[in-house]
Amino acid sequence: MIKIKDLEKYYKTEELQTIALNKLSFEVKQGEFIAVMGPSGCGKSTLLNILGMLDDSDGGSFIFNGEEVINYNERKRASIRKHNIGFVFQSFNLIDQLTVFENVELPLIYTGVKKAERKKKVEAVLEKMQIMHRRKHFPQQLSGGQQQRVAVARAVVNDPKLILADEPTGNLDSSNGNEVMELLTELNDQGTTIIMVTHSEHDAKYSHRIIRMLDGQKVTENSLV
Amino acid sequence: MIKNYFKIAWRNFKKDKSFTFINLLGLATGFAITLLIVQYVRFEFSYENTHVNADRLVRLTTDYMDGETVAEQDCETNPPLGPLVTTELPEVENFTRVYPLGEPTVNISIENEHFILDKLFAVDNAFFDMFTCPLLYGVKKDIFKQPNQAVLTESTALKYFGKKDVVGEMLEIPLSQGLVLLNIVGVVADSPPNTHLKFNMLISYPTMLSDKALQGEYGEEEDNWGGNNTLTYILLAPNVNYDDFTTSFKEFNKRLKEEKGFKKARFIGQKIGKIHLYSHKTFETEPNGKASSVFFLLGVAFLVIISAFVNYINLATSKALDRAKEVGIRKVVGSTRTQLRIQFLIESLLINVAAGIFAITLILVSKTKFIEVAGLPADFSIFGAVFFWIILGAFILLGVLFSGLYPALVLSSFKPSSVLKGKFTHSTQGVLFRKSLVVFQFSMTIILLIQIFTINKQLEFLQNIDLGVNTNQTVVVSAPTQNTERKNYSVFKQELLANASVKSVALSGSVPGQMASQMSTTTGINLSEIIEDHNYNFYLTTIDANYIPVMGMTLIEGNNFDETSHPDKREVIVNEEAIRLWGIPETKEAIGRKLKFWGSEWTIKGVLKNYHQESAKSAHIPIIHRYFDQFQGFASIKFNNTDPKEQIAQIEAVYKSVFPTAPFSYFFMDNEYDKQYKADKQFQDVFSVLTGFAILIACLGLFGLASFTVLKRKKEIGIRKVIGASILNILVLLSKNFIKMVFLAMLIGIPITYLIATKWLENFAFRIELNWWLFVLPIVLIMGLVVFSISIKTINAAIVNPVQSLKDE
Ligand SMILES: Nc1ncnc2c1ncn2[C@@H]1O[C@H](COP(=O)(O)OP(=O)(O)OP(=O)(O)O)[C@@H](O)[C@H]1O
Ligand SMILES: [Mg+2]
Repeated sequence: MIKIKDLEKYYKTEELQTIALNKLSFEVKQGEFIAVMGPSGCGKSTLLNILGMLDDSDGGSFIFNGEEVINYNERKRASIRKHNIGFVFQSFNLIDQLTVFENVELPLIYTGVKKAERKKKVEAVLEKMQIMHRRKHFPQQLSGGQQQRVAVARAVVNDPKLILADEPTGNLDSSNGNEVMELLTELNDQGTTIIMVTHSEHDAKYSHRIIRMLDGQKVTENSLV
Repeated sequence: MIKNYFKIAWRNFKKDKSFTFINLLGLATGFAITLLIVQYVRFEFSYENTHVNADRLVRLTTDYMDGETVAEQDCETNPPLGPLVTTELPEVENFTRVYPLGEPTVNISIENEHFILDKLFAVDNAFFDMFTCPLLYGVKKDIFKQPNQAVLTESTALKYFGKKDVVGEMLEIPLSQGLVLLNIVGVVADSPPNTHLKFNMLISYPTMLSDKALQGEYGEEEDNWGGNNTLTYILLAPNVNYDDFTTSFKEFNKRLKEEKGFKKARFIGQKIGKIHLYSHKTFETEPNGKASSVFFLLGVAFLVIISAFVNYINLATSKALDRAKEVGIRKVVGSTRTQLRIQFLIESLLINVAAGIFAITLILVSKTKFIEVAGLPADFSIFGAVFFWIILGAFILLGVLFSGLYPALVLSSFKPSSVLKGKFTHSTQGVLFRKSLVVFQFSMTIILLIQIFTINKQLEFLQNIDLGVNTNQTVVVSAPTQNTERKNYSVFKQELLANASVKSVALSGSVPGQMASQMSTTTGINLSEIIEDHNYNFYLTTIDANYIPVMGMTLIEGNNFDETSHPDKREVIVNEEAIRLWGIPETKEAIGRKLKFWGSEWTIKGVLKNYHQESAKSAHIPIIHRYFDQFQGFASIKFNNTDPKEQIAQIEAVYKSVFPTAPFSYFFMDNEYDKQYKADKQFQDVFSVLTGFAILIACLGLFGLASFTVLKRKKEIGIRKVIGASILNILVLLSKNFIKMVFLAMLIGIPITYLIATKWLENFAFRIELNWWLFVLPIVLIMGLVVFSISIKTINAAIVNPVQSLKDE
C-alpha cells in the first residue's frame, strides 16, 4: 500500500540545517499495523506528516496505492487524503467551536456525503466509540479519553484505508490508553492499515511490526507476528 | 458545507464578542458616513440634470480685462448679446435673457396688500423651450411674448393667493417706470433644489422694454450696449460640439470687438452643468459650491471606509493564532485551501452584510441631522435612490474582497504540520504588511486632526478679525419702493430718534456685510491725471453724512460729508484700496484729486481706512462712496436697547406709520456678516463629523490591536513579572512598537498635511500662520491614545497573578 524509498526531509533555520529524515525506506502492506519508535527528535512525526501528505519531502520516492505522489500538488494531495487517510493526534485536535457530532461529521462534509447519510454514519461510529450520549457536547466539556475517542471516531468515519496515529495515548492514563489501543486493533481487524508513532513498548505490542528509527534513519525492523 | 461555514462563523462571532463588536461598529459607521457623503456628492453633481437640454444650455458671461489678464469675471452680460449671437451663429438655436429684478427683494401688491418676493426674473419667450419647467396651468406658446405677463411657481401662487390655479389673476409690481399691473398667464412647478437658477416668479422681458427711458439698460431692438445687468443663456443646436461652438464664439467676440470697439471686455460661455461647482463670478444667482471641497470630502469618506477595512484585516489576521488550529484540523480531514478561503470570505461577508444593515439603521437615525449639516434640501431622499443601494452593495462587496481576502489568504496558507504540533506561536507572515496598515491609519488620523485644527483656527481667526466696521446693535431696514413714500424719510428719522434707545440713523445704497455684488460696479475708473493705467473694477455706493460715524469707520484723510454736501457737487470718499490701485503713493496726496467716470469729473474729498465689505474672507475691494441723502437703499439704525426683539417692534411701528403701504423688511448687520461664513461653516461641520468618525474607527482598531498584542504576550508578561519587571517596564515594552509606528506616521503625515493646509488657506485673503503646535498637538493626542489603550489592557494583564496567566497557556 505504501512504499517509500530514500525519503529525505530537511529543516533549514538561520544557523543550522536539521536532517529530519535521512534516506528512509520501508514498505507497508494493506492491513498491516505498524508501530514507529525512536528517541525524541528522530523524525517520527515528520515521517507521519509526509505519509499523511500534510508536508512535502525534499527527495526520494513515495508510492501510495501504486501511485507516485511525491510531486502532487496541494489539491491532489488533499483529495487523496480526504478519501483515504484518517489522523489521530496526541493532542486530540478537535475544533473547539464544534460539537462532538459536528467534529466527527466534518470529514464527511468535505467528501460531499449527503446529510441523511452523514447522520447515519456519524451516529454509527459514535455508538461504536461509546460516546453517543455526548454527541451534543463541546470538546472542552469532555475528559481526555473521551476526546481521543471522538478524535478516533472522526478519523474512521470516512472508512479510511489508512490511519496515521501520532502518540495517540501520549496524553492519556493507562486505562484510557488501553481503550484507544483496543479500538485501533479492532479497526485493524476489520482491514484498516494503521501506522502509529509511540514511545510506549506496551502500546507497540499491539502492532504487527515495529520500525525503530534514529536520526532520521531506520535502524531495525522486527516483526511481532 | 455552506451551512457548516455559517455555523462556525456564527459561533466565532459569539465567542469573540469584542472582535465582532469592533469590526461591526467600525464597518457600519464607515459604511454609513461614506454612504451619506456619497449621497451628498451625488446631489452636488446632480445640478441642472432636471433640464432635458442641460447639455446644450450655455450661459454667456463677461470677463473684464486688464491688458491680457482677467481683472474680474461677471455673470451678467449686455442685453443685445443673446439676440445677436443667435442670429449670427448657426450653432446657436435660441436664447433667453434672464434679468434679475430687485436684488434681493421686490414688493408686490395684490389687491392693495403688500408682500415681499425674492427670486424674480424677467425672461424672454424661449425660456420654457430651453429650461425644463413643467407648466401646470396656462399655455406655453408665446407665454412671455407680450409685456406685463407673469408666471408664478406653484408654491408662490399658493402662498399669495391660497390656491394653485391663479391664471387670470393680477398683481402689481414697482418697476423703475412706476407700478406695473401684471397678468398671471401660467403656473409652473417649483424650481428643483439642484439648479443654480431658482425662481419664484418670471415676467415677460417686453415688460422691461415698455419704459422708453430704460431701453438702453434692458436692451431693445436697437444696438445699445450700455447696460450690463442681464444673464444670457443660449441653447446650442442639437449635435453641436461645445468646442466647435467655443471656436466660433471666439471669432464672434473678435468681430464684436472690432465693430463695437469693446477693448476691455470679452464674452465667455460656460455650460450650465459647470456653474454650481465651478463658477465663482460676481452676480451669481446663488452662492455656488466648490468642486474641490466636494472631492476633498469624498476622498476623506473613502479614507474612513478603508480605515474600517484595515481594522478588519488587522484584527482578523491578529486572530490567526486562534484560528490556526482549526485551519490545520480542517486540512487534515480533507479541506482544500479553496474551501478554507471560501469559509473565511463567508465570515467576512456575514460581518459586512451585518454592518450594512447596521449602517442603514445608523443612517435612519442620523439622516435628518446630516441633511441639515450638509445643507441638503429637507426632503432629500436617501433610500429612494437606486444609486444608494448600488453603492451599498458595492461597499459590501469591496469589504468582502478587501478586508476578507487577505486574512483568507493568510489563514488558509497555514501548514497543518506546523500548526498542529503546538509549537506554532505566531505567524511572522505579513507582519510588515500589517504594520504598514497601522501606519496608514495613524497617518490618516494625524492628517485629519491637523486639518481640522487648521480649519477651526482659521475660521475663529476670521470671526475675530477687526472688520473696520462696528456691527454691534445695528438694524438695517429697506427703503419703501414708492417714491412718494421715500420723501417722508426725515419724518421717519425724527420719530426714530425720539425713541430713547435709538442712537443714530444713517442712509446708504448698500451696507457692509452684504455681498459686494449688491453694489454697482464700474470698470476702469481712473484719475483724470493718470498715474497707473489699469482696468480694475470699482465698487460704487452712496452714503449720507451720518454713515461713516454710524458704521464706526475711520476717516484717515480729508473730511466727511456734511450739511453742505450735495450730489451735484460730485464729491466722493474713497478707501485705501482704491488709492493703492490708482497708484497714489501717499494717502494725503489723494485729497482734491479728480476722477473720471460716468461722463463726469469727481473730486476726492476723503479717504477711508479699509473695511471688510463682504467678510474677512475676501480681500479688500476698492470702494467709491458718493453722497446721496434720500432713502433709496437702506437705513441703518444704531440702538442701545438690550432687547433687540423689542427694538425691532418699535422700529416696525414707526416704519408702518410713516410708510403705510410699504412692507417692513429688516436684518441685523452682524447676521449679514455671519451668512458669508455659511459655506465654510458647513464644510467645517461636515468635515468635523467625518474626522470624528475616522478617528473613532482608527481608535477602535488601535484598541483591538492593543488587546490582541497584550493577549498574545500574556505568558511573556507573566514570566517577566515573575523575574521582577514592574508594570511600567511592561508598559514601555508593549508601547514601544506602537510609538515607533506613530513616529513613522508623523513623518508621512506632516508633509502631506502641510501641503493641504497651505493650499486650503490660500482661499483666504487673511489667514493664520501654520503654527508648530497645530502639528504637535494631534501627535501628542495620538500618542496619548496609544499609551492609554495599551495601558488599560496591560494593567489588566499585569495585575493578574502571574501564576494564573502561566497556567492558562
Ligand atoms: N518546523 C521545524 N523547523 C525546524 N526543525 C524542525 C521543525 N520540525 C521538526 N524539526 C526538527 O526535525 C527533527 C525531527 O522532528 P520530529 O518532530 O519529527 O521528531 P519526533 O521524532 O516526532 O520527536 P518527538 O518524539 O519528540 O515527537 C527534530 O530535530 C526537530 O527539531
Ligand atoms: Mg513527534
